[in-house]
Formats: sequence, C-alpha cells, structure tokens
Amino acid sequence: MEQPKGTERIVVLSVNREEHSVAVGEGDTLLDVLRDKLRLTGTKKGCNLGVCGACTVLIDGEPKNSCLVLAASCEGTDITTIEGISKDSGLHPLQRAFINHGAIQCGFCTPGMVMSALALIKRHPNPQSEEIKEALSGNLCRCTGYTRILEAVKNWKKYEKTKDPPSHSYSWRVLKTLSRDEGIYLSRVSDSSCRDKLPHGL
Amino acid sequence: MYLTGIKIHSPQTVAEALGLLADLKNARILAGGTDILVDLKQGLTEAGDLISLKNIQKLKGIEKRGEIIRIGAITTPQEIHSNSLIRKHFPALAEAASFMASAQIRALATVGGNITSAVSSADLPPTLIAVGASVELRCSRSSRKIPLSEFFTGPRETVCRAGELLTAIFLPLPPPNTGISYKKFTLREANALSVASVASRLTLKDGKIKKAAIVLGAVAPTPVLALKASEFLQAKNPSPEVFEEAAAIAKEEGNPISDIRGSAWYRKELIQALTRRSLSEAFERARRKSKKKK
Repeated sequence: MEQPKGTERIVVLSVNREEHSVAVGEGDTLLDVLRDKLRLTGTKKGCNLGVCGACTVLIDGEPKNSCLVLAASCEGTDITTIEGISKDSGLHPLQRAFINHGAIQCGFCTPGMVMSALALIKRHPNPQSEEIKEALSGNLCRCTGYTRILEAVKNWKKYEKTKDPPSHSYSWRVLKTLSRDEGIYLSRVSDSSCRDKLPHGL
Repeated sequence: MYLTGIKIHSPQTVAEALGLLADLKNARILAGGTDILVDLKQGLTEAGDLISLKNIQKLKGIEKRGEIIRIGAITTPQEIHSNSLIRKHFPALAEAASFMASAQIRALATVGGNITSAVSSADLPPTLIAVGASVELRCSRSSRKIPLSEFFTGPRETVCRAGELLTAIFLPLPPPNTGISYKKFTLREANALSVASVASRLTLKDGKIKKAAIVLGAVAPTPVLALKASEFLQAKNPSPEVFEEAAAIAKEEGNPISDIRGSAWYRKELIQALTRRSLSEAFERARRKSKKKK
C-alpha cells in the first residue's frame, strides 16, 4: 500500500464494490483521487468547477460532481464510476444503446452522461423525454446536439438482451467511425483515450 | 486547480463546530462545497481552515415541530424537493429547489449555503421570506433567531457575525386558505441563475385578501420584500386587474442593475410579468385549498 506523504492520510473508499485504501491530501477531490490515485480515468475532468458534468459519479446512488466532493469525506459511502457499471457479460445496456444510437462523438462527456442516465433509469426504468432532459441537464455535450443521447436513453431497454457490438471486428471499424470506437473505450475501460495516457514512469 | 494548503476539520456536533469557529480566526464553513470549493479552485477566495459540517447529524433533515417546520442547515435542495412535509405545506419551495442548477449540484448544495452565500439571485430565499421563515444563528456563547427578511444586508453580506453558524431554518405552517408561488426567469431551463424571480404568498378570508407578501429576487443587492405592492393587496378582492395593478407597483420596488444576463429595464419588465403570474398562481392554490376544506 502507498505510504501517505506530508499531510496525507489513509482513507478507505468503496469504489465499484471494492474497498481501496488510498493516501489522500486534505484538499484532494474525489475526481483527482479516482483518476490520479486509483487510475480510474473513465471519469473525466472537464471544467473542474461543477458545471459540465463530465466528472459525474454515483455516490450512494445519487449522481454528483466528483470535482466538488472531497475524497476524504467519502469514507463510508458507496461510489460507482463508469468502470463499475459493465457486467461480466460486457457493456451495460445503456452503453450499448449509446453506441447503437450514435450518441457518442468525441466521447468526453459520455461517462458522465451514462452515469446521470443510469441514476435516472434506476428511478424510472421507462423515462419520458422530459424526464431525460431534466436528468441530463447537468451534463454538457459539445458534439452531438443531444438528440441521439436522448434517443439512446429513451430506448435503453431494447439493449438489455442484445450482444455487445464487436468493437474490433472489420464490420465495426467500417460501420462506425474511429471516434465512436474510441467512445466505447472511454465509457468502458480506464486508460484508453489519448488524453489519459499517463506520463512515463507513473 | 488543485486545492493545496487547506486543512479540513470535521466536527461531529454543533458545539464542536462552534468551538472551532471561535478558535480558528479565519476558518470558513464547508457545507455542500458547491460555492466555496469553486471559489478556492479559481483563487477567488482564500482559506486555511475549512470546517466541514457534513458529519453533524443535527444539521440534517426536515421535521415538524408543532406548527413549525424545521429544516436543518445542510439539507440539500434534492431533499427539500422530495420531502413530503415540504411538498404538502410549501409546494412552491419544493419547486424552487427542483429548478436549481443541475441534479448533481442539487444533491450536493445545502439550503444553509444557498442562504448564507447571500447572492440575490439565489432560488430559495424569496420563497422562504414570503412564508415568514426565520433562521437560527448560533455561536459558542449564544443563539439568536431572526426573520430571514432581516438577514441580508448586501451582496455577499449578512447580519451573521464572526463565529456564528446558521444551524436551521424555521417555517411557520401557512394559515388556512394560503397559496404560495415562485416564478423565475432564466436564459436557459437548467443550470442557470435567475435574471429575475418573484415569490408571492396570499392568504384569503371571506373572498378577500387577508395577507399578501411579494418578494423579488435578482433585482436588488438582496432579495427584497415589495412592501407597497404587498400592502396594496391587503383587503382587496382578488382579480386579474388587482394583480396587474400590484405587479405595476412591484415593478418600481426593485432596484436592478444591468449585467450579462439582462438590462435593468428588462429586469423591471420581468418583475411585472413574474409578479402577475406568481400572484395568479398563489391565488389559484389558495382557492383550491379552501375548496378542498368545504
């Protein structure tokens, strides 16, 4: 286990149903700890000021901006990030819906969008357009114009039984653009996008 | 944009928090963090010691004590919006909470922070003032309760003294035949500060207006009670014409500035329109309540 430095102290965070002992500084936000210490870089750092929603995670089931939560205050809570929502069998149906509806372009907002949408469908499994707009109003997307995201969330149930798109198959590469391909990774695994390559030696 | 050099204190009780506030001279309060952490990250404010209220159970929750509803200072807008007592007695407050910022912020922010930040466009104070709410301010040696209408003294300025902590908000249950309404205008439907907002409350008796209160938000340095318009309505027979007249009076009671969200002229027009709409809705709600009783 990592040794705490200076004013750091060890806290135990429950992330995606796993307990992590991690050394955190007093002012470390949950976002920074998730990304820099736990290497869960699926959660994105956009504005870092609580406006864009890219850093949305679920804390005790509620979507919150992880950039405005201090990590040390999260002991005893149940944190879910984008990395924790796929099942053994593959992607979460919501993620499959995002891919199939072309709701991902650059992919940077996608993890936050999916987390907000996930909180919504847990409350309302068949959400109406207005409910979706309301639930996603704290998540900004600068590419898609939102329509496809709304359609993806509205139709998510159709993807409960479907298979994951074969992300490396020829047909996938031909049919989907590279950015969408990357988008799956952004919403599925951790250090995949070029933005999240860690500096050498870390 | 990383927060460095701060020390977080996490008291478990109000007494401990007040002790820390008294001892640590430049300490700041950390409630939901949606204002102060943003300001700290942007270098707009400085703080060495932050006193986190998160673990203090007494500051959480909403309860009915006789004819009073007590809202703990660190209750979130999300909790206010979904609370059955608030929805039953103060639906306008539940609505005001539900239109704030975004879902992620509503789950983090606190009512105490929304009040003590003392920003005139804040969404909860107008309705709270209209229903006659008061706030409890405690320090290590004493405790006082003052009407929220007397709390604000200017932008980011309040009567709260060094060492004092806002611990709870008290709302008297509305008298029978009372309707409350909150209307705001924003440039977007979500994640936007009010350009102007109006909360109004009407209590009816024998078909006449027994008591009225109109509070204007975002059109003066603090939320303001439109006294002349409220008094004008006293003992009047409610009608669209009377509400229109009251709205015209209220329009002159704000003192708006021009800024990025709207001009002073536009804000005055908004006051008039929002006052009229808010009075009509408050009246409909009051009437519906009296009908239900009969």
